[in-house]
Amino acid sequence: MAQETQMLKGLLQGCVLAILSDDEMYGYKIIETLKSYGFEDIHEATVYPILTRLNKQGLLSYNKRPSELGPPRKYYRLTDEGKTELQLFDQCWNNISSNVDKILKERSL
Amino acid sequence: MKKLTKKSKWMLYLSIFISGIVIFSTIFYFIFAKDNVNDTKEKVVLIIIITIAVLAVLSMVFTRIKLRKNTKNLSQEFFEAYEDIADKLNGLSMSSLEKKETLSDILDLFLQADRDNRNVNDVIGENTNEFVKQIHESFGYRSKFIYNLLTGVQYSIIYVLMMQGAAYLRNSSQSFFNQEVSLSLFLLLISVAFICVPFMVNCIRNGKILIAATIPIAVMVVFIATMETLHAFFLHIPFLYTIVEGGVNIMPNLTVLILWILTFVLASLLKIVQRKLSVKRL
Repeated sequence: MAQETQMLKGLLQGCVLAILSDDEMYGYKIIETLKSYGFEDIHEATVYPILTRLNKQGLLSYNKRPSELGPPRKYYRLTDEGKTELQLFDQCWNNISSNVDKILKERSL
Repeated sequence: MKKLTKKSKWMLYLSIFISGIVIFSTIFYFIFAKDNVNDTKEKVVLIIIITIAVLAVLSMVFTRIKLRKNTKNLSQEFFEAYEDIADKLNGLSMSSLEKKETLSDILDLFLQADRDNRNVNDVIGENTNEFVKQIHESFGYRSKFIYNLLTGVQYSIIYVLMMQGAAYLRNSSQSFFNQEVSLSLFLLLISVAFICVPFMVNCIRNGKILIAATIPIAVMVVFIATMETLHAFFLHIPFLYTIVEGGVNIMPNLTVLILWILTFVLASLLKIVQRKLSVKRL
């Protein structure tokens, strides 16, 4: 179960980088976007620490802008290191998913 | 207007209770144990102790009011969760800036979720402790032991400075650096800084307010009982005699005072290094 959670976190990390590859976005919107792609059980408690970690690792940067609700809101975007990391994640995921697909197809035949 | 949460109420009762004990025991000491209660210097010390105790309560009230003011647009359910997270972040090896920023981010998330009529458990999950742990880990691994040790050093220095100041107020005919303080009291304050304070902070973080309230009382009871026992039966042992009756000049000159202050600054710097290293290890 713990391994499953770790794996999901790793995948989510890549997904967050991918979501931010087009445009900058704030935390709540990132979570809504993840949900819209089918990660319906994902909540803020999972994604917020990922955003903090990616920011601390220098893969994301942010701008603070005023929000109509109260405190200033952080708009995250990819840094150059983040773009490189996203490419690595993309390659790694393609590799893993094609291997897993092959195994599953063979076993189901 | 949001209701005062159960936790806030307990925290206020706890601060009033502890301050009350401090005020009561100080007045009791000055009335019954001192002959020279009319001495102006003794009165100054009495007033300072009472003022500090009252300020501690007012600081607690102010912190709680500030927390409620900053979150006035949150519903009661989200406010309770927010307050819980704010309390749990205290005592973690994060800088005040990191905590402030984290709370601001969480407030923004909560305000949006609240506006969308979502349930608080849907946002942070069932376990607040786990959420706070994840946040803490997202800043990289930081040894709690080293953090508590450095904080203990800082608290010890503050207590030492306060103790020296109080000794000087009582005996201002002598130089500030010529004051001797009781060795047993010095040892008590060191153990408070290194053991009691971290333990109390941990209890408050985990919502064990009653245990947190019991700690200072238990420490005082154990201290008084130990001192009385040593006084009654063991004064013939030189080492124990020194502990009970001995005094120590913890700040004999300006150089030592500067060393104490530099140690405080060094502990703060080491905390910053600890944070920087943890981020690098991510």
